[in-house]
Amino acid sequence: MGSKEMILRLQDVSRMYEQGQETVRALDNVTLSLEKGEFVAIAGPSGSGKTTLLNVAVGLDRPTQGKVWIRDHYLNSMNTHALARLRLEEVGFIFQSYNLVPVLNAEENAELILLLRGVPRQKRKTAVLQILEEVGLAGLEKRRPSELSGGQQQRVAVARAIAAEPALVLADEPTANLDSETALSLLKLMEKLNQEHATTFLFSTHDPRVMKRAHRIIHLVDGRVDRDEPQPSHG
Amino acid sequence: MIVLRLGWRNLWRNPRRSLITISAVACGFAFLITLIGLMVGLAHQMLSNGTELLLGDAQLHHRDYLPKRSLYDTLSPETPGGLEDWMDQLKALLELDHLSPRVYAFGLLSTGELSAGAQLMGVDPELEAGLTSFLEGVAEELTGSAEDQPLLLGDVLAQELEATVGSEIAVVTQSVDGSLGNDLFHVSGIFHTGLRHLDRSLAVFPLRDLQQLLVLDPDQIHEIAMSIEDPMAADGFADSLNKSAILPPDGVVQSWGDLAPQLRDYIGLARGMYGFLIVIIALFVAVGVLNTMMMAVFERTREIGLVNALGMRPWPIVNSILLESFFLGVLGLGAGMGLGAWAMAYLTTRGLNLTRWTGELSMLGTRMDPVLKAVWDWDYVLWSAVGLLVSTLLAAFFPALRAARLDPVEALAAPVEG
Ligand SMILES: Nc1ncnc2c1ncn2[C@@H]1O[C@H](COP(=O)(O)OP(=O)(O)OP(=O)(O)O)[C@@H](O)[C@H]1O
Ligand SMILES: [Mg+2]
Repeated sequence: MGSKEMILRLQDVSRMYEQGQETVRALDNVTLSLEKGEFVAIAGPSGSGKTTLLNVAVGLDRPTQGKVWIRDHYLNSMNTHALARLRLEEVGFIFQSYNLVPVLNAEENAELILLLRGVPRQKRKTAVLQILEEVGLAGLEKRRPSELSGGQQQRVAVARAIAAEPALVLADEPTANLDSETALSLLKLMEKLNQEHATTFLFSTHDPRVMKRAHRIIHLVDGRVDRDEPQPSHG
Repeated sequence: MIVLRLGWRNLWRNPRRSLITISAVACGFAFLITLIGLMVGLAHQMLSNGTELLLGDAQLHHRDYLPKRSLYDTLSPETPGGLEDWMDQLKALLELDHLSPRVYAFGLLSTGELSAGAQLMGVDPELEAGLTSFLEGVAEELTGSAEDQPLLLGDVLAQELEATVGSEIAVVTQSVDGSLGNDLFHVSGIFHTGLRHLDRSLAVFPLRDLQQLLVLDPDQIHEIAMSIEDPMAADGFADSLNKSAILPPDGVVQSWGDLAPQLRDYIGLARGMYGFLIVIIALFVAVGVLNTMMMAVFERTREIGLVNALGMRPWPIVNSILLESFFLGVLGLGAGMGLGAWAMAYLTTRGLNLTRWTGELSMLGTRMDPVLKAVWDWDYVLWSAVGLLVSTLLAAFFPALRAARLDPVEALAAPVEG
């Protein structure tokens, strides 16, 4: 056994949707595992099952067949509340867009997870101000999402995901709504945080330039893992 | 804290919609305050007119006197000091404000050419003026009058007899000894109560004069009317007096509610109406709030899904939505209180002048003041506020639960508010 800590493991996971008479296999016998500190992209065309995979991986959705673990938590046997608790404790999220609560400012959005976890106010504040600076948003703490650019909003989402130092950060097409320059700098930011905090990242994309930044790419085709290969150019 | 922040800030996300909902609560509350204020005012007015005009808050009779009003069923207290002494004792014992002894009979009045049947009433003008108002302005004409054997007539009766002040009236009636009492009196004043049946039938004499005409002793009377501090306590007062030893053995006390059941019924009915009004308005407000909060939750589907996905528990979500509508309710109640107080400031002092529509009016046998003044009743203000706030919260509960139950995956796929 490797000395690396296991963060996420899917074993023979399938997710079927009933569409009228037909059964859609959004995920088809997916087996994969992520170790601590990995920086992994899920690639695949639209409809290949990327979102479904991420949802199943964190218990937002349940697999029709197969087993899922986050660290040593076996998700199949957990109820909805326990899953919510697990996400709060172990997972950070970055979605494609509209990631933030509109009535909360950047700082409040970034501290949301810490707040929900019950971290004391002073500790929260220090952590959030530091992480906002780290993602390049110093000075914009009091802005509401509507007063931030798309890239800045995504940085707030990254700050929120990372502030609580989760085991795993999931991002579903985090750059899809950004221009390529902004997308690239967001990726670089995620990479930097991955390096500095040893946080495991799993993000989906169909943008080849984003894919290139990943250290490992899992290619999905029709819900199946087509290829799962490391990127030699990276660590 | 986060719940408070979300509730408050979400309230102002769609200020127009929130303000409309707040005004709906405000209008509902102000409407309840003023309408109930007017109804309470009407009830007060009816009660005080009903009791202050002639009835008093309670009356003591011989147990057989009502409803036949037989001349023979008189009361005479058996105290050594006679009626006056007994009344003083009663007053002291019960801390009564006022009481007034009365004697009644039926008789025929005539001026020679014209005659009319009338109810004869003997009163002590001073005591009566302290208790009731039907002789307002003319009571002193019974004592201070230069006329020998003075008599007061209702204005309609006076008209029928074509009598004016100074007219000589022959009064004929049956006396208790079986003889025909008859005597000459002089009209010393004419009164107007506004109640037709009184104005056309009542002739008022000094107590002793009528007693003499009827061949009654000075201590023999038919009725003692009393007034107490709180008319609403009249039933309890009558009960306790009926059990007390000071009452002559054949005497019985009845409250205004027993004597004028229609008045008691109206006041009971009015109370039921207040509750009914509160429920109706609360329902209207609830529909408005329900609509607002359903729309709010619908528009926020995506972000609710987001915080659900992040791992926020359902209760903070429910609470933030309940809190938002609590703010709607409280702000609405505040504004409604202001609006209601403003309207009440006018309605309690100037009142609604109904003369234009009604002229002089009477209702349930009591004369109504054509200017209806509202009266604050804080109990009902409080109940209205509680009713509206509870309905606001109940109405928000359903949308709140819906929000808490949103499936994060579906919610995150939902379109976003612009
Ligand atoms: N709730 C659902 N009901 C039925 N079918 C669904 C549902 N969600 C997803 N699917 C189907 O499952 C398949 C995978 O969908 P998924 O959203 O995971 O793809 P994706 O790779 O994320 O696509 P995209 O790049 O467009 O986001 C698709 O065929 C989709 O139509
Ligand atoms: Mg997708």
